[in-house]
Amino acid sequence: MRPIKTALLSAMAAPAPVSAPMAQEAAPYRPGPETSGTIKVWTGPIMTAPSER
Amino acid sequence: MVSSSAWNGVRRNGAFYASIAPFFLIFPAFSIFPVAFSFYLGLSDWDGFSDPHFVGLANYGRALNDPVFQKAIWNTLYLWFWSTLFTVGLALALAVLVNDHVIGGRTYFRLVFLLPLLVAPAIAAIILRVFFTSNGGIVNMLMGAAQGQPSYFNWLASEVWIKPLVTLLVIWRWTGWHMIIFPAGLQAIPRDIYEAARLEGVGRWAIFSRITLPLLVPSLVFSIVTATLGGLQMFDEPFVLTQGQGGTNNSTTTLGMYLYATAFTQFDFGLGAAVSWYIFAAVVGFTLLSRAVNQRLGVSS
Amino acid sequence: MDWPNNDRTFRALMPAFNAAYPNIKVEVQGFPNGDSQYLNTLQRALLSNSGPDVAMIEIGVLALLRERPQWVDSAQDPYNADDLMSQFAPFAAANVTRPDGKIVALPKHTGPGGLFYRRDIFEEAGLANAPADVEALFADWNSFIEEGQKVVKPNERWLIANGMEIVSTMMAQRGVNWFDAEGQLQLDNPVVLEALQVVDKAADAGLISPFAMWSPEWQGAFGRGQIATIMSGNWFGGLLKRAFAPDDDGKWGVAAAPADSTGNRSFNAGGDHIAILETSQNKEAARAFISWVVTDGVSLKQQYQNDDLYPAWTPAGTTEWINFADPYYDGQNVNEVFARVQANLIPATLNTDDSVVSAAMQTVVNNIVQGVSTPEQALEQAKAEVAARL
Repeated sequence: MRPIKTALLSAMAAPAPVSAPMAQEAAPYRPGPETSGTIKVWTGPIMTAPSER
Repeated sequence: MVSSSAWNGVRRNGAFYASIAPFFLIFPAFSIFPVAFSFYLGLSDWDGFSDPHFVGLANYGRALNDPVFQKAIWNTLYLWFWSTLFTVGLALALAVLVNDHVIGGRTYFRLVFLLPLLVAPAIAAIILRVFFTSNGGIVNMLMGAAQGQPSYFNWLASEVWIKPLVTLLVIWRWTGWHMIIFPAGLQAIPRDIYEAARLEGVGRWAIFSRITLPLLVPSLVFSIVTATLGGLQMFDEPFVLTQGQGGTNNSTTTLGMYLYATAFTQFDFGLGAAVSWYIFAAVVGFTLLSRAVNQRLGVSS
Repeated sequence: MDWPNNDRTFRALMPAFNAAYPNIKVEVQGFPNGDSQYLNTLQRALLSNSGPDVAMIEIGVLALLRERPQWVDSAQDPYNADDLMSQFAPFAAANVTRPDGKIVALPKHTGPGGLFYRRDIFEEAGLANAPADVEALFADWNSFIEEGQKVVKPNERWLIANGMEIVSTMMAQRGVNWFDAEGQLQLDNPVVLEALQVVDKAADAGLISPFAMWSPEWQGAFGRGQIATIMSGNWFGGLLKRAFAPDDDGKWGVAAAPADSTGNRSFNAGGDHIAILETSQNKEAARAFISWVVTDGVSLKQQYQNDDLYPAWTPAGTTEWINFADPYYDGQNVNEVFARVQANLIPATLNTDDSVVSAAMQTVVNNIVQGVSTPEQALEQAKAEVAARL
């Protein structure tokens, strides 16, 4: 999919985009390593047993 | 100036009002509100999360049409009847025996029979499963030894045997609790009545059935009423013994288990609330009935 | 019990996570599922805005929880996860995406399913025990019953633990769940009756153990060598290794399940998803955590190799660490089975009322196993019970 989409986009984009939007889109949004804070995570077991003893 | 004098009264008895205040805060919050809320829920469709919407008596009708609910009614009545009969009967017999034949250390007997109740239901179920499990269960091993060939009968999966096993678990857990109801009643019967009867040459069984039993009616009624309240709401014993599944073909699913499954595993709180009102109606009906019986017996004796 | 829980998995991940994000502190709290405790606690917290920053949503409760408005929408700016989603297993991505396009969670792991079997028992029974041989042996459900009888020792050892395994597997192979995408009940789908008939035959042949799923007897039966096979998601290997049969190193193997009439062996059983709550005061840190957990190679490798959690993140499929010789499976690279399953499985729909139907089906499947009803009676009974509840 990606090459086709890139080709389409670059064909449509005139003049060619300075920054590559595909590259940004492909990299998942992830905060940088300097991100700080405390978070709480809640979890159950990995599967829903009907009723667990 | 009525209000000011009333206020003065409150102030004068401040400590008294302060000490009863918690009740008037806790009672509405934890008793009146839940009851009213469950009545409202019984008339609603609610998954515990989105806004409840009004559905009238639909939940009450749905319950009646559910084959599992119908089965649960029958199962509950069966378990209630047999467990009450045996629990109260056995407790009475043990109490009379202890009263007649044990002089020192009666407290020991009262406590020792109460011990099973201190065992968590889940642990009690494990103990019973050790006895009755199909593979290597003690009962099957004994049967195998008696027959001369191994027995692998699956007691806990049997539609026929699971109800007696649940009843057995109830009896084991609750007999001791009922046993502590009777000694007070037995002590209250004047000794000289027994002595007079013995002098007249009345037999033991006649003494029990003509003297002890009639004079024990209030204790007996109390014992039966509490056994019934427990019986109609029975949940722990069948739940733990069947891993929450109610046994093969729901053969020991009780009303309490049905309520639990609908409300807390399927999040159909409306249906669960409706079922709780059916149980409540049954409890009220039985209580009124037992009062009537008690009064009649009281008058006749 | 020492079972591969998410809370343990997360705690074990912390050193690696803090190497990537030294300034984020993660407090993990695990809840048991018993009595729906996790679900109830989480629902209450969502209602009262007192929840955590991040919550796990297991596939069994996903249909219920994704309806809730309290999740951060990953489709929105700045997350724009639409493109990201194309890199998760498609069915897992579809399950966390609502019809309006809102993405309520990121898929963490899936449950590609297989047939776990005891190599030593197969050998003892005179059956070939290499994974390819087992797949050839159990070409379809008939041969599963036919050949499977050879491992049975009456009242001592069985081919499978529960009838419900057959029903779940056969339905999942067709991509059928209790309801279809339009919310129509699927009990009349031919595969349901077909599966019940297989259960009936298996029960008649004495293949099914008397142990109820998740009961203490059932859990113990694996370690005692009383259960020769089980059909489940890949995560079940974690339970075998760490809880049910930790001493049976080298004895187990994994093959694809018997093929259905269309020749499909693949199915999914399980999966977990990770979501951020709108009430979180620290959404950046939460985002850093969930992104790292579900896409980072270090995280996924550790979860896969140490806790048997199969990555929903498809780029993981091309890494070198996903294929390894696992000593527990006698050196077998079980990903040869699970990668195939993950690629070929037909997705099934999740519905908020799944638990109602599955409870009724559990009862009637057990009725067939106990000889109380025929498959046809069982199906009618399940339909009547479900009709009264819905």
